[in-house]
Amino acid sequence: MFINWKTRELNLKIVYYGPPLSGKTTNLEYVHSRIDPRLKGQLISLKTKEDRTIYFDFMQMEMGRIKGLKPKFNLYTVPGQVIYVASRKLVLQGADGVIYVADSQADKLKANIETLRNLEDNLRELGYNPFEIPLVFQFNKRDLPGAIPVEVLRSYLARDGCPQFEAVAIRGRGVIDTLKAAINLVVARI
Amino acid sequence: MANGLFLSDAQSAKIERHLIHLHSRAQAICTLLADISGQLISAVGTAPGTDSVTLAALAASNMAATAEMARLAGEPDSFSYLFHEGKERNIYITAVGDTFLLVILFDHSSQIGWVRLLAKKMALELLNVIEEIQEAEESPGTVVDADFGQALANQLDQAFEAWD
Repeated sequence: MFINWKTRELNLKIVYYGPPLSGKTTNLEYVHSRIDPRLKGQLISLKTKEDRTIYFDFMQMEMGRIKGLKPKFNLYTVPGQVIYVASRKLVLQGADGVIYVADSQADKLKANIETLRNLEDNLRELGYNPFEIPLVFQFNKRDLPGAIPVEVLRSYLARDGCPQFEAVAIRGRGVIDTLKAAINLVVARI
Repeated sequence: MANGLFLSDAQSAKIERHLIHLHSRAQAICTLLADISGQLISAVGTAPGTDSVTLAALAASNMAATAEMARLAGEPDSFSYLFHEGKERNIYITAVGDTFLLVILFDHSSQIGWVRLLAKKMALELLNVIEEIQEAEESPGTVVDADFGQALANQLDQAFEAWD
């Protein structure tokens, strides 16, 4: 969180985290495509030639002034691939909230669990209590035939008190609701 | 949880004055201070196609990658600066302490040696300013209350509804 009382701006950082190809970039691309153009900056994607995120995707969105303060949200995704573990930790620095995008397919359950543990480790190394940071779960790819029941995902991943959403990010289902919940949670913690 | 950064009016104005001074002496196109999380703190100067918010995010990741390279290379401290030379424009990035970075975008009307000298001096001066930063008198909790949250939730609904 960064507050500049001279310009009266409140800056908050929200990071999309999750295993490889779970739909983090798709979430951000949908948000960018659906928000009022007057409220958004450009979407920056640092990708490999195979279209995989190498550093991060980034966009800023801002709201109108509320009680004289202008809220701005910096939205980042982390690379899912294991080889970019250092990038994931770097992007998490200064995060005010995390959206965990899980892949609902049965064969991705192990990757979902490992990446969640990796998130907790990285948060700890950065000085956070991983159980206190605002965290929202999104169970993505609910439309795929290999999707396992949400109850199963919940039992392995979700925590009490953390909002959870089912999503089909590629069609936009659940994307905006997930982001709104994360923003509301982050602001409520200030 | 990691702490936030709260800049008072006076602190913000002081940082801005330093950046304006550097910007003018270096004849830069854009001069900015960011933190290592990619958060833009203050920027001076604009030019078509220069998005200082995004530049701050990219510069921070660039500096972070460089720190990782320093570690792999066996350098005990991180490399202290980065210089990207282009046909028309150059970017100089230098660390300000452990948590901030100074970014100077300039063209060939300025010499790299001069920019480097100014940046090195300014990094030390900015470090002194930053070290003075205490939590601002006005805590965000006094403004960001339940009413604020409700108003924000309404604005979010509108921001997306209009474009559905």
